[in-house]
Amino acid sequence: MISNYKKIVSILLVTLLLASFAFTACGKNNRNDTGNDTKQNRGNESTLPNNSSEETFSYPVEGNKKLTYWVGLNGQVAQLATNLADTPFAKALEEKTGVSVKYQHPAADQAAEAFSLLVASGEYPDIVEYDLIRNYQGGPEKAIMDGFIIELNDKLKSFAPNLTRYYEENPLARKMVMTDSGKFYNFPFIRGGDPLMVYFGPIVRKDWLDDLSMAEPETMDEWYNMLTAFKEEKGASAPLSFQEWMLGNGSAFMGAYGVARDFYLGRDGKVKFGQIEPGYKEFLVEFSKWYREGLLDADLFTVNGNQVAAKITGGDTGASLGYQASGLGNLLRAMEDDPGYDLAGVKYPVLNKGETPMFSQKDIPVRGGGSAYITTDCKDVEAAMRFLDYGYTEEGHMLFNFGIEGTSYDMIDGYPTYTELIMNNPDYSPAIISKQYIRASYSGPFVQDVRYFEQYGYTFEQQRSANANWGVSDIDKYRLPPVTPSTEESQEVATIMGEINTYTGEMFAKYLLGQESIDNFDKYVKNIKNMGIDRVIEIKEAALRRYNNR
Amino acid sequence: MSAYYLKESKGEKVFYILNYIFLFVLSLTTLYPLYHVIIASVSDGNKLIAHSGLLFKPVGGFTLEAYTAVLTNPNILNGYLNTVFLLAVGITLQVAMTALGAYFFSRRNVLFKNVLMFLIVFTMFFEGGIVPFFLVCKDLSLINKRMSLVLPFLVSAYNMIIMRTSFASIPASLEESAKLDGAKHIDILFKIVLPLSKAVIAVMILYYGVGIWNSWFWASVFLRDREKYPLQLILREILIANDMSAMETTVDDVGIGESIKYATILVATLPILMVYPFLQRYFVKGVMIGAIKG
Amino acid sequence: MNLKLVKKDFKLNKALYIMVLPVIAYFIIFKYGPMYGALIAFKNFSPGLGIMESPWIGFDHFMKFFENVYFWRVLKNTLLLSIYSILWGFPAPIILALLLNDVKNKKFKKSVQTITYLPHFISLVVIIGLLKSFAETNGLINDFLVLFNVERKPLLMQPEYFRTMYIASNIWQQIGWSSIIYLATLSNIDNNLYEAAYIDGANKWKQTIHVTLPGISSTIIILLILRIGRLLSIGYEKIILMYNPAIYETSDVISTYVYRMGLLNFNWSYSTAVGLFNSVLNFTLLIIANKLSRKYSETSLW
Repeated sequence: MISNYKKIVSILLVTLLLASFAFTACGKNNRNDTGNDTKQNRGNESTLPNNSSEETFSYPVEGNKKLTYWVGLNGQVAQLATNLADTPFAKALEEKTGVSVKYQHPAADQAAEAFSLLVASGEYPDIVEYDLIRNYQGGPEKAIMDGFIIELNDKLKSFAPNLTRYYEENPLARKMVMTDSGKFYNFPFIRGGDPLMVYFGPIVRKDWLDDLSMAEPETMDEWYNMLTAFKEEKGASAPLSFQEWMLGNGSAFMGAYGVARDFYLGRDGKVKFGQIEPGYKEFLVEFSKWYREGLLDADLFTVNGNQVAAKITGGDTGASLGYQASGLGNLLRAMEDDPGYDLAGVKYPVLNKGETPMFSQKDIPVRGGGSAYITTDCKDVEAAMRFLDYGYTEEGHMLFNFGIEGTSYDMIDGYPTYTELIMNNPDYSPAIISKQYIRASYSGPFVQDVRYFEQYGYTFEQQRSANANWGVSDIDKYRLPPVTPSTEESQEVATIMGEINTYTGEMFAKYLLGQESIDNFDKYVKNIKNMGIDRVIEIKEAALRRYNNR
Repeated sequence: MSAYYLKESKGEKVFYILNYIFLFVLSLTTLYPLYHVIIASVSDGNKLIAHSGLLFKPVGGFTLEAYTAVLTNPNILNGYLNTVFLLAVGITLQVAMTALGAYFFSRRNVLFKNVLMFLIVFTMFFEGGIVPFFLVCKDLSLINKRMSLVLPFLVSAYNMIIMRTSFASIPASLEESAKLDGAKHIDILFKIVLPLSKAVIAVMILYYGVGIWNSWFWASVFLRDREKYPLQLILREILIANDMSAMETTVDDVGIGESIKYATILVATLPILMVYPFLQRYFVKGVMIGAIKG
Repeated sequence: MNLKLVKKDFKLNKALYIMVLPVIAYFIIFKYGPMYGALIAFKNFSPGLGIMESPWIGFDHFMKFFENVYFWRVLKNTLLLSIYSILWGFPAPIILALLLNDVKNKKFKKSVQTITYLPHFISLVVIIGLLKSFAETNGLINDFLVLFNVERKPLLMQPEYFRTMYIASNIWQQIGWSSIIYLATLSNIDNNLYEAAYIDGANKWKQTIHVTLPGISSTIIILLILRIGRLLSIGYEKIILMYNPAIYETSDVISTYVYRMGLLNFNWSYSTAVGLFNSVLNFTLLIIANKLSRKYSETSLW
């Protein structure tokens, strides 16, 4: 027996050793030149600033450059194309820039997992487009230090003159994209004008309100009454329905109680985490009452966008949260045949009549989403930067925002006007067809043009008033700017928040569904404190001070 | 075959009746959901979402709208082709490799057989984890290759054991005589053992086939070209994904989204149901041969 | 080890060893390779540095896991889900096989078999897709429960129903398929045994206890050992298709936790450590189960 075991164990060990030897051997080969420093150097070497060519550079980039580009494929693009490269947009881009790009796409809804493994793999495509600020543990500084992406400071002027020019003209955008230590590292998605910042908010069935002789609701009480009336008079089975994560887009409803779903600046100017504030408890009390009384969709946590849309058009739901174009616009379009049907975008609810909402969905010009980065594996940084900089040239601006002249837009009196192909396509909604020709209707490394939204966002009159209503809020006072904690801090924040977000998400569900008594809210707050929320707030405070000094 | 009796007692009679009823109900609970899917897929999506209660006929009138949407989606057809490719290549390689292993382990008088067997069985219960597995595949440049869904899953230890048991039950005398005629191992495997093991091969095809057919997770992390996605990944986007799903909001789709879901299910399941009757006769034979330790 | 013997063996079985080489290579590369990679559980893995160069940190990740607020919860959930799965899911196909075995009408038996085998071939994604719509407030399952005066509820948002949904859908999908093996074994039982029992005055029930069950007991035991060895290895594939924050409380198991930590929170090393811990537990359980079985029933895996 014993000798048998010994034999087995020793053989096991030998095999393991052999295997590990084999792996270290081949691992070494791969790794020889992938140490942190070498990687950085390699990036720098190939990109010695070449100022002489700068003056004379013009697109297309010469030399048949080839790049790989990792980016999530927008679901609506995927309706008609299996790869971004198949779209007329990408073909035009390739032709104009002279750079042929192979796009790599993670599976929808699995992008976070795929991204994590992409980083872990240590082998990267040339360009990655993803929200690093939100999704890279440790933030951009860490991504640079880890040898994942390269810093662009010394190359920006030579290889991205157009982006540089934009920064010079828009110091606020410049302030938002750099890290605390002054590093530039991305080709950001920039919303190029105030009207582009607001695009999401509460939607109600206007025709039902008229039938019931009710005014558009402003306070939580009016909302409550309206939903009750929808349920009782209109037979709505789920009077208020939306996808649960949408509460994070502007903190509707909880905003009435002075709290946001995320971090924000309180009235005292201090950083606050909304889900432990007393106001959040009041919100929970009210919202769980709505749930109990059947005013909220019972399946709140499992419904998908399709189902919500079907409920709104089918009369099961009279109020929702949604986007201006792909939500409100699509719903109105779907119901065009029904003259009685009407929707309206209303203001974010408040507690007392006459108040201005503290929060709403109102974006800032630059966020992490849609930004592109150059990785340390990129062999030809110049080509990659030239390619990405194209989005900020005048020509590129037109391509990204309006597509191909004569096909997707025409110049009418100096105004780029989308053609019928985009706005009145017999087969596909503008949301889908536009994404084949432009990137303005989602995001990417370029400056979004206000004129895009003037057409795309306003096909219906209701969208105009909705946008005006959704824009009413004091969010500018209470929003936490895009701070970037230091590398170690970011990691700490990520670890702590990973746990807290799981916990708060779970507890929100429990409070709402009445599985946990709201009387225990103090214990809930204590648990979150134990997980380390105060430390996170402290870090954010410090980062905020640094941000203000940029 | 079954219990031996000459006449049934009263209790036994009651038992038989209850037994029939129970099995009938069980069959119904298996069949009804499938029926529900069929009916829902030809219903009006808008009405369907508000509908509750059992479905016996299409809600809001019979319509094939959902099928039009599903069948014109480029992703689904593409996914189908990829899955068929994976099934063909995957099953061939998997069964061949498993047979090689099974043949080795079914031989007598091989010194390292038991040790190797232990090392293989060990892997059934001890694994390195998602990230290390991914790193290995990355080192082998499998990322974004269709073969990444085949090569890392070539041999299942469990299946190999089943096949080994089956091989071992073939009378040694058959091989001995071949050996005397100078046949090599490879000849014995292909000319004697495999022809006598049709049932277990059918079972292997079935097992590996079901495995490939079901898999979505590794595809979702290995593949970076949507052109290479297997069907299940596309299905997942349509059926499970909670955000902007792949089948959302074409002008008229707002209403039929719900029935699209069911139509997709049916389109994805129908082929299996069609080959199913042809495979069925192998189930019992093969499972019986293999699954019990010899 | 006797070198001479080894030499002789290699000489004699050279062709065999060559044949099995690709198989062995497969296991070394794809099974033992990741085990080597699991070293990162004791390191702070950084992709830039690779597995070897990343700094050692010993058992820190394990300690972190044991001290984690969710440690007991994921362990408990894994165990409970697994135990309940065995408790309900394991006997179900045996019972079905016994019942089918007593059906005299060949056609009926055949039909029931055909029907119950069928769901095995429906993909998991589809099954969960179906389950999700059936579990909605106005879904099929609620329609059914209402008949028994149970209030309509979004079932996949209730932590207390998660295990039931998980296990029931498993049974629904696998009961027929898993029963095949028992049916096959049953058909191998010698009819003379029944005859003898009958002559001894054993009624139907007694025949089942004394003839049928012993006849399939070794199959049952082997499958049970294998099952127990996988007690803690509940995969994430099904659960991550099913779950949402509202049911984390019961649905978050070790593998889903590993998945979230490793793939969503960038804690590659930490998640590998947790996975390794899980593997060690699994293997220990298997050995214990095998030992017990050898002691009490003379049937064992090795």
